[in-house]
Amino acid sequence: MTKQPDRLSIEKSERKLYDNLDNEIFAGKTRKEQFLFALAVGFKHKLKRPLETREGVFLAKDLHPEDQMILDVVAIYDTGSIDVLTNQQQVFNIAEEYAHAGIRLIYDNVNSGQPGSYFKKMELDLIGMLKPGNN
Amino acid sequence: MNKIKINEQILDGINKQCGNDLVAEKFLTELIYEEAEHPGQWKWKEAYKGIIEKYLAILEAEK
Amino acid sequence: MRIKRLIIKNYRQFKQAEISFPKRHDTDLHFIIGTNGTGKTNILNAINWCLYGDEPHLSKESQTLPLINLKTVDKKGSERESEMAIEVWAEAEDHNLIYFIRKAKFLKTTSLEIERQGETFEVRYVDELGNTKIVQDESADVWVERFVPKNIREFFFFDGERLDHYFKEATGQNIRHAVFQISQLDLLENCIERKLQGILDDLRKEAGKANPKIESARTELERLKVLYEDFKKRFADFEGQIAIAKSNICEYDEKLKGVPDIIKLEEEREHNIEGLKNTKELLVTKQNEKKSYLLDAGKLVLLLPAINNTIKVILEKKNNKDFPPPIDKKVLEDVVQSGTCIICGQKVDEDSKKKINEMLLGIKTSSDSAIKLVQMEIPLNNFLEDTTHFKEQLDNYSQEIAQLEKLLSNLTERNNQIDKIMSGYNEDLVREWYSERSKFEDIRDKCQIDIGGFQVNIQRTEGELSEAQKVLDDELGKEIKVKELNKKLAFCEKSLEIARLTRERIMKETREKIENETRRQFFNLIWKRETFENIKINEDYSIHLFHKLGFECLGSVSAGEREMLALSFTLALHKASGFDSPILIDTPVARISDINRTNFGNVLCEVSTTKQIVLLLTPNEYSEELRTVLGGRASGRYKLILSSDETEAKVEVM
Repeated sequence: MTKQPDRLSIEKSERKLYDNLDNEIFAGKTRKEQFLFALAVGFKHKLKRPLETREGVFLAKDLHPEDQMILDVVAIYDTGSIDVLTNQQQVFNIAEEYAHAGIRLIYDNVNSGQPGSYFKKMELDLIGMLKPGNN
Repeated sequence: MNKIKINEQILDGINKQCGNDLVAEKFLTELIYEEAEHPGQWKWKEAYKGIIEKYLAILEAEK
Repeated sequence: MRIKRLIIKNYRQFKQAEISFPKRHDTDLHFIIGTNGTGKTNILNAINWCLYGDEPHLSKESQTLPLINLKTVDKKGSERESEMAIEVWAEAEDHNLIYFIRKAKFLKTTSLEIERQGETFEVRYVDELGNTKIVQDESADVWVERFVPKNIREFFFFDGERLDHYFKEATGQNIRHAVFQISQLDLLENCIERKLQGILDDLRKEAGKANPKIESARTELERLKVLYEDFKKRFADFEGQIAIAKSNICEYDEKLKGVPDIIKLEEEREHNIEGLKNTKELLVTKQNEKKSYLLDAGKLVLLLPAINNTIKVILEKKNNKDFPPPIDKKVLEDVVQSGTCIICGQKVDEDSKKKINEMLLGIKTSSDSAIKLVQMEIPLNNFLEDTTHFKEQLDNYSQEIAQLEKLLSNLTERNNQIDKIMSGYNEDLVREWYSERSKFEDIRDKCQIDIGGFQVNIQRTEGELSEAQKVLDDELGKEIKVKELNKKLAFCEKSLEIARLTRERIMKETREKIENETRRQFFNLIWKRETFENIKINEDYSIHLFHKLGFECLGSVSAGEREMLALSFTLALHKASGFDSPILIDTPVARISDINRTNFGNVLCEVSTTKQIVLLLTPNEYSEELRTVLGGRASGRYKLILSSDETEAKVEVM
């Protein structure tokens, strides 16, 4: 049995991006929620970046079942196999790499214009994604 | 002494109100002139009593 | 009576001035023309000072100056005492003269101070025997009261420019009182009725001494009378307060005409500010809720491909009956790896390993994975369900936010409107007006409630008085000893009743006469004859002017029109009352335009055929129109000239 990882990590140098986005975009959100959103953005853009210097961001025990589910479906999609479900470390790694790419995308997007316009653009993009034929 | 002018309306009014009672008419007319002659404070009680007695006597004499 | 001559010595601008008022033509009309500062108004003041000892029309500048002519005081040199005197010669109907003479001495104590040393007032007249009599003090005042009573002098000697204040200051009660005095009805009410009542009370007291029952009935009657008078007085007080409150309310209504209700607007603004604060908070909350939703639900939308993929995998596995697997794949993998069977503990040979690998190939899903996938099916479908409502939920948030933004905008706009409305007004002043008006309305309302109680008391007491009177009369009738007294009582009671009824009838007739004459004079005087319909004077002597369209308009007419109404009323008072004293008007036509002065001149000429009228005019007032009407018909024409050093005014015949 492989050793179960006890935390998820982010790129150490990019903690400041999370800090920066705390008040503007992620007001009231936990680091875990921020991470999951960054993961989703990275996944949407099909971008992953491996971590060079790992720094823990939240503990695995803080994951709710729905949160775990999100990590699992991303891992299944990424590997193309459900066997990844037995490898929590791999599931975490995949999530971390998507989140690493995602947080940078969010940061760059936000800082290219007014914070209000980020949500407006996001809203339009998401609605567009839900149109028939786009999923 | 200059005779004080009394508003004609008052004299006519007394005349109408008294009707045939000439004693009452003369009595009130005399009182009016007394009052007009003595504006302000004056010893009116004795004057009034005197005038009342005078006209009562006239009234008695007419009976 | 009329003024025959006015003599002024050392009074203000006048060192020595004599003005005669002869009656030459069919009118007894006179005018004196003077620019401001030449002493025109001081002629009015001089007459007032002579008769009453005061100067009610003094300008602010003159109030700081002594009465005595300064040139006289300065000229005196070593003689430092100077005398000032004013004489008004009044002519009675029988042409006998009554001389009103007031003098005052002044002493210059220092170069700057002038002290009044004393004052005397006397009246000289010729009695029936032809003897010249001189009276002073109260006796002299009595003569003044016969000429022009002090407390109604504003109906005889008045400043035309102040006449429009007349209706603001005079209440119905004051006017009623004035009518009483001018028409001599006070002789009936205050004198005869009151005094006869006093005689009756004495007679009853005398009768009461003869018989205790009479005394008891008399005492009860007295008690009720006192109570009744008290109720009437308090009723009248309340009436007065109501009249004053109503007058003030009218004044504030006039001021506030067209002015918005600042207090209400302020309340609305405060309420809106509160609303803005609350709405802003709500808006921020709602915006944050939407953002949070976008992040939470949005991530599911972003992960839809992964979610859909996993659901698809689950369905496939179910369809292929890969769930649950027959043997746990992990167990087999561990056996191959360890080389030992975990069930029996025996070593696994190569054949067995090969068989196990073949089995592994057939097992596509491990138990762990299978369990996880099965567990994921329902939640993932819920995620999917949630995303179908994503747009609808976002729309709801957007709608709510838009409503809040609109509400914010409306409230802000309304407050801007309110600010704009209020910016045109002195808020503090308007607020004060509303507040004051409200106070007077409260006073009026309270008094109207209280007055009702007294009305009831008065009616009840009237009944009790009547009853008590009957009891007393019965007792008096029974008592033989007081037969003589009874005769006197009956005589006095009858006379009193006649006096009372006469007074009431005359009041009614007088009021109607005054109303008719006021109406007639007013429509002769004014220029806008098509604008006004009628004038009414109520029983309480309040005056009402009606527009052709039917509404009451006294509060909204011009100062000139108000002045004409007041003048019409004054002339009507004089005519209806028959009171024979002169009228002096200072600056009568300043507010009346040139064309309409012709009406004014014609009316005064008509009135002056039976009453002396003296006008004090400025040169501007004596315009072409007035000159045309008055010039040829006036009996006396004077002008005032000020000396070059401005210390003395002289009167010259024109």
